[in-house]
Amino acid sequence: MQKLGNFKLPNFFNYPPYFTLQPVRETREKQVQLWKELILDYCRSQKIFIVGLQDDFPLFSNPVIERSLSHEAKEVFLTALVTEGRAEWMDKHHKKCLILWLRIQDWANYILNFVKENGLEDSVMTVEDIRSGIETRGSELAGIDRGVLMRALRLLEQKGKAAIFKGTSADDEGVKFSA
Amino acid sequence: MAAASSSAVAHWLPTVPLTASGRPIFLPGEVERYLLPSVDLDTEENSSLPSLLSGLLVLTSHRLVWIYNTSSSAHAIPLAAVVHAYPPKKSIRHLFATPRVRLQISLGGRSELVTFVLRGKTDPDVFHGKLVEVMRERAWEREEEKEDRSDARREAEVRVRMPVVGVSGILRKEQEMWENTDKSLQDAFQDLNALMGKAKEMVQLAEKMRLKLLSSLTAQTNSNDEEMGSKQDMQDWLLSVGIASPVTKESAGALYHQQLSRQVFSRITSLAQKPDALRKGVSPSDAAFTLGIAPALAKEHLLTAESKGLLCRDVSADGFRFYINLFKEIDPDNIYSCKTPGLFHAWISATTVSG
Repeated sequence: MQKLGNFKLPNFFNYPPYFTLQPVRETREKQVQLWKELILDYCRSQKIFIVGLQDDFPLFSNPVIERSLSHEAKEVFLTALVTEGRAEWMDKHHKKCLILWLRIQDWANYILNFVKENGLEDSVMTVEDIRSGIETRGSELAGIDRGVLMRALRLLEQKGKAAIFKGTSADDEGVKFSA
Repeated sequence: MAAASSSAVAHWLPTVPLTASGRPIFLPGEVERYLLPSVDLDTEENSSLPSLLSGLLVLTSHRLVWIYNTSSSAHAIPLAAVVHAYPPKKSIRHLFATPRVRLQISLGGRSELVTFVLRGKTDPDVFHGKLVEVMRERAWEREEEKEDRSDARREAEVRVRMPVVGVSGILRKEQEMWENTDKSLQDAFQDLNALMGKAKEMVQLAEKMRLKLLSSLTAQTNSNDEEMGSKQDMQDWLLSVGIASPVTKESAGALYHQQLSRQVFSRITSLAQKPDALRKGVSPSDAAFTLGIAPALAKEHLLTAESKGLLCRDVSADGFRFYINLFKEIDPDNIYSCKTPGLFHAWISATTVSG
C-alpha cells in the first residue's frame, strides 16, 4: 500500500486521470468529491492547516505515475472545499487556503469536551499551553493552528463557556473555562 | 389521421410496395440518394387533401418516397412529375420556422403544390440541392434509353445472321466471327445475370442480418465482450457490403451515426479494458490502429466516448490518453474499498503486477 509519510493512500491515487481535471460534468463531480475527501483526510492525519497553491504540497503530485495537479485543478478542488465550508481562502488571490478538517464549531465542541474530560474547568490556561502544552499532548489540539484555535475560543466565549483575557506576557492570552 | 385521410391522398399519389423490413422496393436501376426523417407532406393550397405527418422521406434517383413512420405503407412522387422545386425561403421570418421545401407537381392530369415540412433538423438547402441534382440527372429516362438501345442491338443481331447471297469465303468467315463474339457476349451476360441474382440475394441477407443485429443490440445492453466481438465482426461486414442501395453517411445522417456509434463504443470500451490499456491508457493512435481509421477520427470517437462517461482523459507531457472511466466504480464514502469482481479491481490487479 502506497504511503505519503504515515498516511495510507487510496488505490486510485495511481490512476492517471485522477490528476487531470475532467471536462465531463458527471465525471468531474465524482473527481472533485474524491479529492475533497482525500485532502481533508490527509490534512487531518498530518495536522496540516494551511495549503499553499504555489508550494509543493505532496498530496498534489504522484511521482510513481509522474503526474501532478495543474494550478487550475488545485484551485477547483480547494474552492469546492471552501464552498462546502470545510476550507477558507486566506487571501483574495487564492494563494493560501486554510483547511478546516474540523470546522470551527467542531473545534469548539472538541475543546469543551477535552476540558470536561480532563477536569480543566475553572482552571486557566494560556493559548500557547493549549497548542503545545503537556496537557494537550496526544490530542487533536496539539499543534492546532493559532488562528483556528482563537476563533474556536471566541465562539465558546460567545456561548459563555470560556473567557479570554490578556495574560502576563505582552503577547500571550489566557483562557478560563467555565463548567 | 389514418385510413380516411390517406385514401384521399392515395388516389393521386401512387403507393409503393415495401419489403418486410419497411424499405421501399426499388425500380430497376433506382438508387437511394438521401434520407430525411420526420417529414410532413402537406398540400396547403388544396385542403381536400389532408397532410401526411412525420414520415421518412427517401429521395431516390427516380422518385420521392414518403414512408409512414409505422413502416406500414408508402407513397411516391415520381421525379418526372416534379415541374419545379422552389428553393427554401430565406428571411428573418423563416429563420425560426420549421424549414419547408415546396414542389410544383403535375401528376395524373392534376397540378398540385406539395410542401415538405422538415421537422427532423435536416438542412433544407442541402435537400433542395440534392433534389435538383438528382432531377437533373434524369436517371429514370436512362432506363428507357437502355431499353431502346437493346432493341437496336437485337435488330443488328438479326441483320448479321441473315445469309448474304454470293458471299465470298472471307465474308463468311467474318460472319462466323460476329456470331461467335455475339454468342460469347450472350454467355457473359448470362453469367452477369446470375451474378446480379446472387447480389440481390446478398442484399436481402444483409438486410435480414442488419435488422437482427439492431434488435438484439437494443434488447441486450449487458451482453459479454465475447458476444459483442462476433457481433462487431458481423456489423463490420454489413457496413462494408455496400451493394445496390448503400445506406451512406450522407443519406442516413443521424441514423448512421446512431448505428455506427453503438458499434464503435463497444469496441473502444473493449480496447480500453485490455491489461495494457488499463496500465497505460489508449492514445488516439492506438485507437486508430485498432479501429482501422485515421487518428483524427479516432480522437473524435474517443472524445465522444468520454462525453458519454465511458472513458476519461489523462493529459500529460506525453499527450492525450484515455482510460476506462473508473470514477464511476469508486465509492466516495469508502475510498479504500474495492468491489470484487469489478472493473476497479481488474485495474488494481493490472497495475500492481507491472514490472
